[in-house]
Amino acid sequence: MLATRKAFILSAPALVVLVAFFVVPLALTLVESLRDGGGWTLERYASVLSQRSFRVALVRSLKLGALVTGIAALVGYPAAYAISKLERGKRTLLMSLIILPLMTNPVARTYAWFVVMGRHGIINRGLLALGLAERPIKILYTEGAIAVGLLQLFLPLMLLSLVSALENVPAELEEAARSLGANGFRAFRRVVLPLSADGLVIGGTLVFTGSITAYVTPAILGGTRVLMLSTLLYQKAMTLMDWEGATVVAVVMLLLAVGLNALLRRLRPREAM
Amino acid sequence: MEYLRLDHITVGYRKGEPVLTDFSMAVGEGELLSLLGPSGCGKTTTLRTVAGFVLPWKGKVLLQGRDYTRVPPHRRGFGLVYQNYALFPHLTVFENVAFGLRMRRVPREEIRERVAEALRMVKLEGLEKRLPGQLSGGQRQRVALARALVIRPKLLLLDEPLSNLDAKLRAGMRTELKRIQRELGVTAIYVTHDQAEAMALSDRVILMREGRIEQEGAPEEIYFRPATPFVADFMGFTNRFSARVEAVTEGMMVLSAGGMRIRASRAGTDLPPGSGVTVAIRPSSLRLYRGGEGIPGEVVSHAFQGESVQYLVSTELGELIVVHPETTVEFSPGEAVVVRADPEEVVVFPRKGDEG
Repeated sequence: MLATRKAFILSAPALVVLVAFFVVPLALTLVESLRDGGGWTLERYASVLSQRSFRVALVRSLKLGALVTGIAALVGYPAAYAISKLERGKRTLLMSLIILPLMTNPVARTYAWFVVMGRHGIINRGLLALGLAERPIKILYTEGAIAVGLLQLFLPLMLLSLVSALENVPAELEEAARSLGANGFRAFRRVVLPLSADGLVIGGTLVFTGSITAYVTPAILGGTRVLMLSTLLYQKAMTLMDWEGATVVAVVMLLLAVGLNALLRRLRPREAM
Repeated sequence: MEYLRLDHITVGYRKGEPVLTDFSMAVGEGELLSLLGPSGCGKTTTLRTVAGFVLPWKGKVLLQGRDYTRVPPHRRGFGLVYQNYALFPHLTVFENVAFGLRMRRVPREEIRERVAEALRMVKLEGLEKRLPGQLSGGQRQRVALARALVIRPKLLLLDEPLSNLDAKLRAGMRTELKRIQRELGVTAIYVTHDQAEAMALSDRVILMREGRIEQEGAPEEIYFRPATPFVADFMGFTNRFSARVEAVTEGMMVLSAGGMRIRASRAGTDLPPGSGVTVAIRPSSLRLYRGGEGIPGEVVSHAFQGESVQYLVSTELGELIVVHPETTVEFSPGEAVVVRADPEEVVVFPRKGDEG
């Protein structure tokens, strides 16, 4: 009882801030999106959901989110595994290098891709020089560009979750599996993977929700034509002054994030003992 | 019959810092060999080399004459039991034990039979569906043993398997481990820092120090006839003092220390009279008397230990520890006593840089 009260008192300030500046506005937004003069209506949802631009952005967001999460998991697992096996000093160094992209300014970091992906960027100049292309190909303002940008941004989150999960899998377990006849891959699949799946789920959740809600990266690398939900939302609110439409997009994005979290939480394996 | 041989192994984890250098040893078929030594002596590295988890820089691992040096761990078919059990926490007892059989693609029906048999052997029937987290330490250790044995290992490797158990359980498991190993006739290497454990279990003991073999032999040999001061120290010969050989007669040596005479039999009879020696005696090989021949001293303190009483006695040779296997305290602090040693249990080492 005392512990509960103490916990409550200690979290009160944070709670007040959250309720006042997050929960209340969120609730108001939600209510507003469903109100029509004096009554309730779903009409706004029907209208936004039937727009082609919305559906394209929705599908693109989900697709890119899934793609980035998948690649982050595939690329991240081996790296995280290798890092978790290093001695403490080297591990700390690598971990701080991993976090580095998260600490650079998002706009600068994203614009840096122009140097690589632009019309006269490194890739295009290379292709031209090697004779692999006759004129510069379009790399910027494509889904691929957005995916690369998101991957750069969110891979660290996957790595961090996986490394901390893998650190908690004792090396002896893997060795025990090996001594019992499992080759490296089977030892990984039957023992290391199930025991680090928690990290994969957490990392996946972070990367996916991050990818479908990120704004700066799709705005800069996707431009105004390749819209994701976040950029569509901005366009509706700031360019088209369609506040009601923007609210609907915001609610859809929120539901996606919350729903996905709930789903992944169910996927989490039984707590390892 | 020689079964396993480590042949001139040099191995380590960091370049230029070998843990074992030119290390050779052999294990006989069906033998239980203990690698005994303090932490850092290389006993675990030896075991890991045999298991295949560390690759020797030089030398060979031979099993029945076949070169196993480069065989990966999963193809060796050696059973491993760890100090912390290393059970798979996400798998039930049944699945833990079945793991090795599944890796070998043993038919399902046979898996069921062999797992049941293994669990019966370690007396864990009925716990198949539990997760490791729901078991006691002793039970976990049995699961780990069953898991290693069910694959019918060519070699059983045990890395301090009993160190995490409490004293009472440990004694029980020791007997059982020995019984199971005998019953199956499996060749085993047992790594431990606990000399009592090594004595109780082993057919043969290798005592290691800084990556080398310090002494190798039957438990009794190591226990009663330590070959070096290091072994004596490790085996509990706590009382030490300097002496000089006075006379040697038919396997019996007369030593003088601080003007007193001590008899020692057997060991070091090749030492000529006049040579300086270090004498090592176990506390339990000394006895206190109220008079007669021996080293005079005074009882400083006593400690009742249940089945024995330990006395600290101040003598001219320094403080001696004496343990009497009695349940009553016979001597009190301040009492004048005479300490006598059983000549059979006095160990003598030549002293380097011989002086007076």
